[in-house]
Amino acid sequence: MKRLIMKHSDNLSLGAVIIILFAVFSVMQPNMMTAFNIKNILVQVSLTAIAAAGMTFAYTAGVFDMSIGSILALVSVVLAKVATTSGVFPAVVAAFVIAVIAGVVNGLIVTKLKIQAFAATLVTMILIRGIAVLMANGADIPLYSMESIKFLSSGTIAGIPFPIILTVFVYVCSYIIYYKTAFGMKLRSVGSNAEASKISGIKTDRMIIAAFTMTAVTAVLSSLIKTAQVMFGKATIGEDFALDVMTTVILGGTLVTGGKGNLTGTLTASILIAVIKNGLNINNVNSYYQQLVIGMILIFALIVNGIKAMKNERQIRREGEF
Amino acid sequence: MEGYIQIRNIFKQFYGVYALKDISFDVAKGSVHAIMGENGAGKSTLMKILGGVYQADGGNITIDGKERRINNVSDSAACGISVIYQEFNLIPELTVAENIYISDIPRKTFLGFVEKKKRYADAKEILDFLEIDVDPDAYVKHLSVSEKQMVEVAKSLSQNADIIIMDEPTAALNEEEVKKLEEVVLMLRQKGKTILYISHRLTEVFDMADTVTVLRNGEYVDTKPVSELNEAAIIKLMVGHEIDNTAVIQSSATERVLLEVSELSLKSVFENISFKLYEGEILGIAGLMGCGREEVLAAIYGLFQYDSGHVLLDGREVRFKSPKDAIDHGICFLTDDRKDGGILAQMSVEENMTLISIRKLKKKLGFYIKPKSEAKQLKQMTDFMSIKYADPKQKISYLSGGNQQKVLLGRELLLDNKVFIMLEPTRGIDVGAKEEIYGLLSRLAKEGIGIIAVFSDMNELIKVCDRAVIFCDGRVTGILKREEFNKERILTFASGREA
Amino acid sequence: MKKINIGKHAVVLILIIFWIVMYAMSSSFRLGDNLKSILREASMTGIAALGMTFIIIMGDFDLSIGSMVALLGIVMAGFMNSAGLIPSLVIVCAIGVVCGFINGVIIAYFNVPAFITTLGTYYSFRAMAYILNDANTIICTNPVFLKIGSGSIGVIPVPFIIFIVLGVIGCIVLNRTVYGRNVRALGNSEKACKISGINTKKVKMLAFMLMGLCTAVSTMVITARQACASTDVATNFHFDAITVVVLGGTKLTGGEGSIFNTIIAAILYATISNCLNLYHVDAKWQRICMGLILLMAFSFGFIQQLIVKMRENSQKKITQNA
Repeated sequence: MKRLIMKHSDNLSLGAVIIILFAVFSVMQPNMMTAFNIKNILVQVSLTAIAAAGMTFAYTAGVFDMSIGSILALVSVVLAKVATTSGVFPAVVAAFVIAVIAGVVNGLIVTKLKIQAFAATLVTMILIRGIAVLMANGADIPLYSMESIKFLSSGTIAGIPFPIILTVFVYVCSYIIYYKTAFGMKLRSVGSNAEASKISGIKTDRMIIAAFTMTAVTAVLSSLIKTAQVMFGKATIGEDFALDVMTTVILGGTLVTGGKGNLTGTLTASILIAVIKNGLNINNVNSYYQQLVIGMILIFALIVNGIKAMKNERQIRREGEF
Repeated sequence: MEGYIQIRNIFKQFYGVYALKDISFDVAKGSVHAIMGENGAGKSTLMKILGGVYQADGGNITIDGKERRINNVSDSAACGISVIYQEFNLIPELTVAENIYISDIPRKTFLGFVEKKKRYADAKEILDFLEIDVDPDAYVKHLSVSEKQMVEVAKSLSQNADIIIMDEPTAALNEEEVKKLEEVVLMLRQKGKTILYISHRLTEVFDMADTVTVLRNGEYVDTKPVSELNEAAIIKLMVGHEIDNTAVIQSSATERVLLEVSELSLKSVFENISFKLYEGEILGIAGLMGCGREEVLAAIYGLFQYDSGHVLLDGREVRFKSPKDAIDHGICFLTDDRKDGGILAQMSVEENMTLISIRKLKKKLGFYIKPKSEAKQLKQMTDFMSIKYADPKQKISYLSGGNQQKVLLGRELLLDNKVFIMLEPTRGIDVGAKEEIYGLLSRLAKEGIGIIAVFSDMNELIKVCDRAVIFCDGRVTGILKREEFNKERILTFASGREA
Repeated sequence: MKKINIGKHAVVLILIIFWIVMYAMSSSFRLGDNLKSILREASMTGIAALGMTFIIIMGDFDLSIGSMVALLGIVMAGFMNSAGLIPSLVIVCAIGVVCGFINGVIIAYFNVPAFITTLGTYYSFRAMAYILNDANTIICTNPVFLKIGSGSIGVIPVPFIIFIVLGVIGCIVLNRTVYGRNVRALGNSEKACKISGINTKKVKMLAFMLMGLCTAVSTMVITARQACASTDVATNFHFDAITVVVLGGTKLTGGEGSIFNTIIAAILYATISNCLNLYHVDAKWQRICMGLILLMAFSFGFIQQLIVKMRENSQKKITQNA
């Protein structure tokens, strides 16, 4: 039993923090504890949580994707445009097609042009945002009262809001892919030691392209929910999205260096951040303070990560390498 | 009887220098065949050719009667060859079972579900057969070097390799672990596998191998069954003729002790290291790969910290917390790999030369570096060492290896250093330039500088050094004076026999 | 006379050709005011790009400079009304250095990768700007101050003069001081620096503090030009600065670079954007254009490698046939 606790100590401590924070906030503002509010929190969670699942895969493979905010916007615009002309189903299909294209493009730039993930996704971030702005032609595209779309954000199945169900679905799939499939293993392998993976016959380039496709697809799912929430196709959403998602993943304990993704941690971290935001909101704290808090949490988490990495390094030194 | 593996006329060059010249010998099926030779004999290169990492320039390889083309790693695997490299090809963040079966994965479908239980069971089977006590669900990153090696062996077995090649398998193992490896090798042999391995440890060879092939300087020497050999005979084969001692450099060593190292220890890396460096002396450090000499020197220089022991400079005890400390005390350090830790590739010859000395220049001139002073420093060293370059502003990467090395030497000489620590001062340099470097070292020694130089090539060591300290497995196994220099003796100490 | 390496300074050639072509083709381009405005624009990004050149040569990035501008602008404008012009300029420089210090400490001493650290500060600094000012805009009316941004001495705009002066200083520091030498050496081989006794952590930290100082000066010019300090300013500033540095031929991998090239590239960048405006190219397309330019600049490395590989292959064929 003790071993089990030790193994999951990182996640458990995050969970403990959530409970404590929640308690503190609730004392300050009893409104927090209502079912209504909790539902609110969970719906907010789903937006970042879903994209964070995809990003976790990317980090596991040793890359990351700064363009998901722009993908969010592009998908929103395309969704609105296609939905108002051809209907919901084609719109959703179009959205996924874009996801795959974006992911493949990102992956190709990184693997074929040999540009690092950072530079590559910086560029696609700007380009994709540009395309979104272009398509929207300067205005938000209204979705009128398309009931079917509204379902994505406010619909319920058996009383549980759809976004939450989608989140659960995504995470269940993610767990299965990560732990049970060969694909998940190959991703972890590439992130941990790309050279050895190549020698062992794994097609590292394909894996990286796949990782980018996953981040794009989960971004699309998030975009579906967000667009449904505001009922407009907006080219301006998602400016901070990439950072929020990356913060979540890093806070959740996934290593920046690759090879080890922590899905549970990511989920827990998304809840934590949502609780913080919600708690601060309810207490009427400036939304800018919220950003500051989150920025600082990221830095803090990285410093802790950095200290851990330094300790690891010292161990390696003892084995005689310099 | 025809050999199971027939290696015929293998040639391999790198940048015009022959690493392997006309290598031909046979390996019998189901035998444990050791490949031996000094550093640089070509053993690793040959194994890499068999493993498909390098392609031979000429010659052919026949396995089980059929000639094989091994152009890449998958060809090698298709021939039933599996190579275990010194650095291992394991994925730290995956479990033992996953690593063992890693090559299977790509053969399954893209998104296929992997049966964890079956994989665990299969892995356990192999591990049990080899009598290895490792949990298939443990992460490779938590394993010890010996355990990782066992996983590599299990991996080879899972791939149904018939030929298993091991590159210095015992380099990082302790006595018990070596015994375990020996048991495993014998088990593999019983199963009908053919084992090829590179080693320099004489004792092991007699315990494990059936046959020994010796290479020297990229050329084939001989292959004999172990029963017909003894240690002295193997060493003689590895070493060849005695070199001509008359071309040796004069000693300028005095009686004054410049640097004294006493009982230096770092857990698991080196133990109880003691030796002296005299003024004007060129002290050679010999030893085979993994003997710990580079680590000792790096620790003395302050690149990392040792656990216990003393270092005395000019009689006073010192302990360097960082390289800057060492430099301030007049000690300098040159690595063996110029490209990684030596030259600043994109910067000019001038800038490379004055990297450290400009800090001393600064004191006189504020922070601005007068171009004339820099140029003067460069000219001073260029004249002293005859460094050849087209233009001082030229990128250093365009210079030849020998000239680059001279620039690095010049960098340290500009600082009035008393002690020079050099790892492989003549690596990657052509013969003519090597002679120039020896001459330089001799001149430095005449001026009273103490030089500690690591040499892997024993001929060089004998030619250049006044005394030699020989390392093996993290300990000093022998200290020899010029009169006692003898390649066989040095190699014996380096292979494990203490004085 | 120093030999000038044409290959290294290709950007100068491109700039000259561009100017000649535009001069011939467009009457509006030739207008004195237009040229002045190009130089002015070039200076605003260029001053920050000077600092960024050091950082990139060293092998790192700084994504937080846009948010620093927001924060520093608010601080400066706030103090100007109470403390006066000179004190507020001094304070803004000091705070700029402090911001750089924060980045530097986390990157150099806690070993957190530069891009993640500066992503965290990107959010934190801007959030602080919002908090300090509640998202209002502070208007600056001090006429002497405004001259810094909009004034000219003779024909040359003041910002450009500041830019050139700082550029010259930057050039001297990079090429003729011990510190500059250390920065370049660090970008080449960290190991060689450590062995040579250079305090690599200190060098890194100082570089980021220098970046902070350059950003502070940029802030002065930008705020003076806009005559107000707002929290939404400079949201893509880091993108512009990095593009300019890379456009100047400095490789992202570090180790070599030239301040002179950065200056020329800043002018080129401003020229291109000016031309796009003159030809009434839509703002939406402009973003995409800039993104494509960045992609091209990043790919220089890849293109160079291709050329090297092609040369190697042809040489191999020659030796094989021999």
